[in-house]
Amino acid sequence: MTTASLAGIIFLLLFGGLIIYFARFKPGSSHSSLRDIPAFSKIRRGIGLAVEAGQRLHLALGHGGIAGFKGGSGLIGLSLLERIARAASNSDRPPVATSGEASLTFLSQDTFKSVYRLMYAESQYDSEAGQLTGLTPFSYAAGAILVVNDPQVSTNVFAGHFGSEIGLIIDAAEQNDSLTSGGSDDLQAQAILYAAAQEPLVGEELYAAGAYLQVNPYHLASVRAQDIVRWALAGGILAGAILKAFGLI
Amino acid sequence: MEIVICPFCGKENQPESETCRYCQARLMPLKINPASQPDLIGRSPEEETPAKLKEDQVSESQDGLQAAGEMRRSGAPPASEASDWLSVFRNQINTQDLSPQPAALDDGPQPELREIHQDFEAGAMQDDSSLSLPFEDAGQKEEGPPENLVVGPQDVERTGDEAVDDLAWLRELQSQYQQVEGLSSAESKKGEDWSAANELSQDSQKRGDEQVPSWVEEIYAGPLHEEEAASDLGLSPAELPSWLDATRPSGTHQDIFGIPADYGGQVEIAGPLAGLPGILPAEPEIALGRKAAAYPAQLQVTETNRLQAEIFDQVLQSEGQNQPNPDRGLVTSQKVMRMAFAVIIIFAILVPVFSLQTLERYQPIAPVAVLSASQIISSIGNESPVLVAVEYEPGFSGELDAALAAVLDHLMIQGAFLVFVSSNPSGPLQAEHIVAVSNQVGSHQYVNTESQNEYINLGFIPGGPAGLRNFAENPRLSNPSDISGEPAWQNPVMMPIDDINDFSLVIVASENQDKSRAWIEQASPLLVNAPLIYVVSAQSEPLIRPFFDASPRQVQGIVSGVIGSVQYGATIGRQGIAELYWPSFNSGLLAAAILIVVGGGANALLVLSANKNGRKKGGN
Amino acid sequence: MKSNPFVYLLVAIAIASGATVLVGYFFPSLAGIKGEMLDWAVIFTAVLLLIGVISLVRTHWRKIMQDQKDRAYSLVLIISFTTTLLVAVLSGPTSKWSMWLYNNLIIPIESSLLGILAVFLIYACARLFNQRMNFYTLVFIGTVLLAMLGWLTIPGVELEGFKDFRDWLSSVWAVAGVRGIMLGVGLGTVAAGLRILIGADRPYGG
Repeated sequence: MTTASLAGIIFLLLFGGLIIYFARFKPGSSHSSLRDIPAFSKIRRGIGLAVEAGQRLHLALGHGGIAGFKGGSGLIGLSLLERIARAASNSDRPPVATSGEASLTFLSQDTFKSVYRLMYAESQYDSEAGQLTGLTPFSYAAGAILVVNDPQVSTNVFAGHFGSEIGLIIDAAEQNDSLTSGGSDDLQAQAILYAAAQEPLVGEELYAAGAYLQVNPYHLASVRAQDIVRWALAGGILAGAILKAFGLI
Repeated sequence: MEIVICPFCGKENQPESETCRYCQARLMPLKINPASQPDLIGRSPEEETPAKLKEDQVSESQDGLQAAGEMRRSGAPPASEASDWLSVFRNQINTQDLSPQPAALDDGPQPELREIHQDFEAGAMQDDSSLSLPFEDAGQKEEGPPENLVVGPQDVERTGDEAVDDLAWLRELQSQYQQVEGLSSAESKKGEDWSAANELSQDSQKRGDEQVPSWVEEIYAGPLHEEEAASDLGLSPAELPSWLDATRPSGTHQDIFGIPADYGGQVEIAGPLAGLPGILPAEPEIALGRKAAAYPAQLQVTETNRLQAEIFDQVLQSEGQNQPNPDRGLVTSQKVMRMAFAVIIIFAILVPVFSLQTLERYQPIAPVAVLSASQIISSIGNESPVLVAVEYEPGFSGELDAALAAVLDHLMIQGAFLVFVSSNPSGPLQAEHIVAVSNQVGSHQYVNTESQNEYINLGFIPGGPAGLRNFAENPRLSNPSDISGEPAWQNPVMMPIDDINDFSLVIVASENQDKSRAWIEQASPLLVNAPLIYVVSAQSEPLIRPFFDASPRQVQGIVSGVIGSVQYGATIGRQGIAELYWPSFNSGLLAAAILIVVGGGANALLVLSANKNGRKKGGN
Repeated sequence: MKSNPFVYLLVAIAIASGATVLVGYFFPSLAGIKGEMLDWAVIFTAVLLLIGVISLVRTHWRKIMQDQKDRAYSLVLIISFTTTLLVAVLSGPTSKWSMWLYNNLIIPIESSLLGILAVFLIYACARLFNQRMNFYTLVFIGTVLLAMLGWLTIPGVELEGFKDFRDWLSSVWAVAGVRGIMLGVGLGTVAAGLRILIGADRPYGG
């Protein structure tokens, strides 16, 4: 085993241990420990509108799949989908999830099915709730535009891997006067979201979505663990830069 | 101290009061002189003379006693007012002095009248709930039904006892009437029936120490005295009209109503039920026929409540209605602005195409990354295998075709054997497309036929980063055949290749920093000898640059966008398609910058002025 | 709420698979198992792509049969799909006819979409102050303009300073910001993976 491998194992064990520790032994409250991010307030409001005003909520999962580096944002999107489905499943117009990759589509359909099963409402499940709108980024955007153009859609949440084509979806949502909110792990998409969306999530704020929307306690624990590791990394980079500058390493 | 209890409200008044100070009921009777107004005898109050009504300002209220009180208040009632048989009884109700007047009682041959008054007074003073007046409790109790309507067990008993007592009084009356039946003349029978009835009623049960005012005796003494006076003076008694006379009951009330002689209960003496036994004592309101208070039928709500109720009603009604889709106008300000922007950009792009004048050409000062790439490619020998990963989407063909075509053009000039691969599903087709474009740029013709193979297309690499890792480690196993299904590794150029490091050069063309990074992460560790060059879109160049700036370099050259293509073409001395794009690209970029400055400035001014107006309004 | 007992089996499979691949990266002795599982993952991904295509066609076919809204677009998709499939199967994926479809339909359509995106982004930048009036918006717009000026050539105007400034912005500030964001994204991705490994997140219908 190389040094890098050993460091990697230690890092993963510490990170996982922190998550479990915060989740089990120091649960904490999201209201006290998290800073205010307006985008999540708007998303919560959109969920409420979906139930009370009979509006539809659209969750875009992107085309990143669940494998590889861009799979992380896809998993966050699926966690959000479960939370949204639980909250808005009894709405007159249940939420709809679009994706540009087959694995995300099947997982989104499975998420809907399991939520309805847990709520003893399996008859309400509709396979059209999880849609594969295209197999390439632009074809995915073109298919998602058709969903976004529905006048009943009041809120669009982006949580996944997107490229520049997210601008087309946001454009269609703006013309439909619906709320656009969300984030991506891709920097180009983040730049477009900042310029065009009403409530963008910049940087790694998307990865805190589970904590803000209270998916489960492990999400809040993950955010707290990430903060600690981030500070440790920042300190390590700074220390390394100083040592390098002084020729010590 | 003597007090007078009002028979209607039960409140105490001064003895000298003529009307009750609480309910304005008359406490003193109106003096009626039959001699002065003989024709009024027997008339109802409504038949009083208009002159008298005008003079006394009698109201048309049903409360005759109140009218009498008003008459009194006006201060002009003559002592000798018309007396009729009803007003006589009304005046009887107005008690002046409840204190017993033994002299009057003793003197008066009308003990019945006294007892009638006693009954009234007693009724007015009674605390029993069944007989209490409503307004007695007005100031005392505000909840619950009036006591006169609430009959408790005690009250029932007491009521029963009282009824029995009332009946006993009536029975005495009956016995007395039977005696009166033997009275002499028919005239006295006519004229005296009522008085006899009154006399009989005076023999009702005595109530405590209530005193009959003396004026009551005087009234009854009046007619008799008048008759006596009349008889003394030789005057004939008043004659009733025949029709009125006919209405008189011929018999006593005992005969009429079948009251037994020994009936001792109370007999009603006023109102339409006069003479009937066993009647509940008439409350002043009932006797007076006071008009019930008119309560509005509509619910009294405030304006705010009404508006809120209307809103709530609208919300409920809209629940079941289909809401029509909001009418989105065909022409909105947003659409107009977008169209205007698009027209300006398109105009800016087309002007250099159709005009002979072009903007100043770009001064090609090639950056280090471009120079490094050109140097590496210049060192590639003839028939050297070069791996080209085409990882960009068809939509980015405009930019990356220009950049990659310049690089491929150089490679074709060098005679390199091109091996195309892609982890994009559309990548293999894009590779064919870029070869065709490159063939158009230069004078070479790279083809892939059975007779001539200058490049090979290995097709699609499935599995994402894992697939890339597999291909990097063992490309023969990952992609054993080319896109047309022919064996790919039997070509003499391909045979020595076992892993990615056996290629002379690896070029990755991508617009996406994720795909670019995936190649670096999966393939770069295995690239010991083979250099890695990136042809990227301008949007992802900052993300790849750190790999070029790193030490040791993980990327040995970068050609970025249209500008990079121009720079590369200038470096190798060949004019590529980027040179054709540049004027339109430059003017479009300039138009975009102007639109952002003008539009952004206008919006900023609008927002600032709106904030200012909002603050002004808030301040005012 | 009732829970499916089968879920526990799914959780066990997910945790075991993830842990095996992860450990295989760190312990070379387990690299063989890791490689085998990755090969299976590659095959599953390719099969999923095929199933995705079938699912897409089936969804749009159902839209046409059920007379749903926008069924005209679904009809166009079905026709295009069928035509492309037939051409590619009959004449080959890189044949003349396939390339004609790719060069004359796919590339122009996607390029025009990108052109629309460019116009929309310019419009969005122009009205950004309307949406968000703060210092960061000013910095954003200023950076965009400076980068554009670094690429422009205007007759009679010297813009070399802007070019150097753009290069400095790109190589120092943009790269530094990107590194920071990528670190955070990486940490978030690791956390998401760890949550699946410990069974806290179950995107597979648990």
